[in-house]
Amino acid sequence: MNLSRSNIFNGIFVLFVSVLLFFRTTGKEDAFTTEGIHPMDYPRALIFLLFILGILIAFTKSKKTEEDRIPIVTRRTISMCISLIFFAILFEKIGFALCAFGGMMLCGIIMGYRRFVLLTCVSAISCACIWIVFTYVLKIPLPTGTIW
Amino acid sequence: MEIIINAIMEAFTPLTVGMNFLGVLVGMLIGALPGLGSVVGISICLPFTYGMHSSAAIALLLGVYAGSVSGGSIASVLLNTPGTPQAACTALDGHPMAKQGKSAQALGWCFAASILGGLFSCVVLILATPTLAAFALEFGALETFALILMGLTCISSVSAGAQAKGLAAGVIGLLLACIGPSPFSSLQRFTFGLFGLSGGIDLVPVIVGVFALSEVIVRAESILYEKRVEAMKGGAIILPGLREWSGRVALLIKSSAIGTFVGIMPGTGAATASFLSYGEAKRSSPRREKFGTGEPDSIIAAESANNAVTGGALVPTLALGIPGDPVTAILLATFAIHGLSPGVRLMAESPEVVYCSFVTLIIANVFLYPTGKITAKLFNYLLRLPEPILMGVVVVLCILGAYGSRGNSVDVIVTVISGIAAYFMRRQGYPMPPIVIGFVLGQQFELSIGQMILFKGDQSWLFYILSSPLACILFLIALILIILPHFSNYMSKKKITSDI
Amino acid sequence: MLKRMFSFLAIMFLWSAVAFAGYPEKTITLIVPFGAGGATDIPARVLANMMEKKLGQTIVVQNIVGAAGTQGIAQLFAAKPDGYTLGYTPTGVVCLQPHVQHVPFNRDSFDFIGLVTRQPVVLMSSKVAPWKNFEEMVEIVKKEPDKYVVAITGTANMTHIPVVELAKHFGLKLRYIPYRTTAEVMKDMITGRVHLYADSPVPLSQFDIFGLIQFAEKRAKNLDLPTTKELGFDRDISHWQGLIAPKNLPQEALDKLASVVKEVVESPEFNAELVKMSTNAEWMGPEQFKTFFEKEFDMYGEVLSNLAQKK
Repeated sequence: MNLSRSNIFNGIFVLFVSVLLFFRTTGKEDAFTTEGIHPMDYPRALIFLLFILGILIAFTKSKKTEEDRIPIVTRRTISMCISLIFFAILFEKIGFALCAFGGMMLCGIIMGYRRFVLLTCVSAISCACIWIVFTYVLKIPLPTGTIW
Repeated sequence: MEIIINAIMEAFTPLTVGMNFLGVLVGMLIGALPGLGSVVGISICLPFTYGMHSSAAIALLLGVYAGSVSGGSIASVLLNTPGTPQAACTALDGHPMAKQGKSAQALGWCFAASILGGLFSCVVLILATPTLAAFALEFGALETFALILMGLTCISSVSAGAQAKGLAAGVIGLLLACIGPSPFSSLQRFTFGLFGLSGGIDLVPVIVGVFALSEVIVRAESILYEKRVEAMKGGAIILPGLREWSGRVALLIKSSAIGTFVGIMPGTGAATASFLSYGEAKRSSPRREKFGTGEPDSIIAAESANNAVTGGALVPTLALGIPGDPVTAILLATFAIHGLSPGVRLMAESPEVVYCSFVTLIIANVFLYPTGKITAKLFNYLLRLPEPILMGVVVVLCILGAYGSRGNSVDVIVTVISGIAAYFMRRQGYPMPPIVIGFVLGQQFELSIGQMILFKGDQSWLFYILSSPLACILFLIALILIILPHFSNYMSKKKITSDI
Repeated sequence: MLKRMFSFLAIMFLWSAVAFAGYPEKTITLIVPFGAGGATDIPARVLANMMEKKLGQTIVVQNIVGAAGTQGIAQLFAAKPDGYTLGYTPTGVVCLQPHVQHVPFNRDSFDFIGLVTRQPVVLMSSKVAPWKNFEEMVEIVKKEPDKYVVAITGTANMTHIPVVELAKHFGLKLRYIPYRTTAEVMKDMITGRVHLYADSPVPLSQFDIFGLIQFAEKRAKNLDLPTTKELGFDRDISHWQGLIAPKNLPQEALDKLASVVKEVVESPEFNAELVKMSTNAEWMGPEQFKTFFEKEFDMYGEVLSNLAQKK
């Protein structure tokens, strides 16, 4: 049988996720329910389906694509993921302006841009423009930071 | 007849035409910015309509609607980040085409398909509104379930070549739709105790995360290996010539029909239409092997369907007062503000308003071409910015768009998590469209299953299903759609072996 | 000692008066917990528009959608009580949802500025149903229990509770089927798959359905339906919307807002705009609104705990 290491890993991961999700469906007290339908039946059916698919994935053959020469986990991609996580966590706390400015700077630096003065200016100006457009034209209030 | 002539003259007054053009332009610009969607566009323009004459207000809002649905494709093609949820499918072949240096042609296909799809739905709208509205009413819980089942079969066709992973992605999409309250109880599911998730998750954060943010993470590394899409010379769009349409006309009509029909069904939107149409094209197109490498068929399928929704959604809105999608719901409110009673009485009491809306939508679809050219040119300038800076702006705009859609800061976290998860899934070979198909159909799917059980009551299943001939037909079609690709594969393999 | 206290109090009084003499000094945010263009959003925007002119400051409407309105009101609850973040809420979010799900706010979380609209809940029926009025409906449903269908837009929400109470009082056994939105309910009501639905009177003017009774003590103007009181069921259930703020709103801001909102709600222009939306304006001042709210909150609490116990 032609098994591929990455697909076995994928399959096991999917199995793991489905088991984890299954445990989230147990042990909840019922609030107001409609007679005859348990709210967790449908998700459980889906999770069961996912479990089976996980097993099927583990046994699929792998395919070579041209994207394979680009590694998946690298310094850049991990730093990008971490920056995005920080952006999401700090968005409400320190407000849009600082978050967006920091985010743009980090994104530029991670992607290899080295002209820091230009990067700083463009980031600051873009953030200001976006803030003006959102607050005055679109009238969508942006978070200003809960810690001040 | 006089009413129709009056309506046409009303739609062509300078103020109405002006508002129409302005609406299409504003919609196009908002749609082109990654993250902001049609609902945001219409909500912004809503306050401006208060003082206006009713036909001008309708022209503005219909213009924004048509423009935003179309505008999203510009960012899809040039940056591989969809401008609106409904343009996510366009990126699948639009961006590869742009990477081959054919951005102008890709955009040309997008706009040609959009305009033709929109006009198709307008023709249907004018000719058949009362009949179609009556037909839409026939869809109760059982029929809706059969219909959604047909839609879900698209997951299988979209994942050709990676069936198990595609189906898993589809199931994940269906599970994502389960987060939050169950339709049948007040129990919160999969919220991990977070209050912010108690409303479930919204479509915009998922699309932005799965398509736009994952693309940014991919580019962080691939920028070292691949050049980005170049700016088009002069920013011009090249419309496809007549010869290029040969063999594709049937696809255009079928996709527009799918889009119109999805629009007529209340509760579904343009995103659903574009993904379902893409799935159907992938199942039936003779060039389906080339999907993903820049094949125009897929662009035609996605873009004509999502613009056809605009006309289709007006059918139940104008005939019954039941909105065909979230955007037409806001449109109905505008009618109410202007003293027109939305609902069954609208056709009877103010038919000139209804016909004026039809004509206005036709004009809006025509305006897509000039406004598209303007927006594409503006967007072109953005492509001259160094890519790291542009990606930074895209990230910020996308996250803002996800935030602005519901005003909920948990959506930002959802966007980022789905972006990171989608990145890893993409690189591991999971197709992305099934996640979206599962997600958009998920809520209605679960609701219709439960409603079916409740409506059935004590009858037997067989009796219940047989009591609705429409449902039987739909189930049969769903069955055929599932079996057909495998059957035709088997037949072609047999043919190959018998030829040898 | 007494003199010091007195001067301290005088200074505090003067300081607060000076600090808020200029209220409002900047833009006010009005949180609406439902989507743009909806039945909660439009009256809020009309109100904000008219209040802006009288207050001299912009009011920005922010739609925060989710979880039957609780996301938006939770954000209001978490906002600073300085008078620059207000909320426009309908009944269900603040009176029902705290009893149904875990929310960060409860009975004592808000200060009440004023009631703006109020309409009785109306029980509506499909034209395809086999009855023409309420009495016939009760008779027919009693003869065939568990056959007739009531549409609800969410378990234990404002479309569910009135019908449950009615059914309990008259001894009716009905089937409850959830839908997502009023539009989907109307689709099935027009074809007769669903027979009954309880909501504000707005759909009556838009769709081809008719009303059976209204849950009120006396008949509302331009709503000629028998009331529950006339039929022996003393239940007053209404859909209302009001302006609220996070607790501990400064008195100056509260007074200013209350007087401005009173002027707007009682003005003919506001009433005319609302009539276009098939809504009905009604004013209650801060004290009255607070008492009314507390009564409603306790009433729904009792009803919901009975419902929970039965299951």
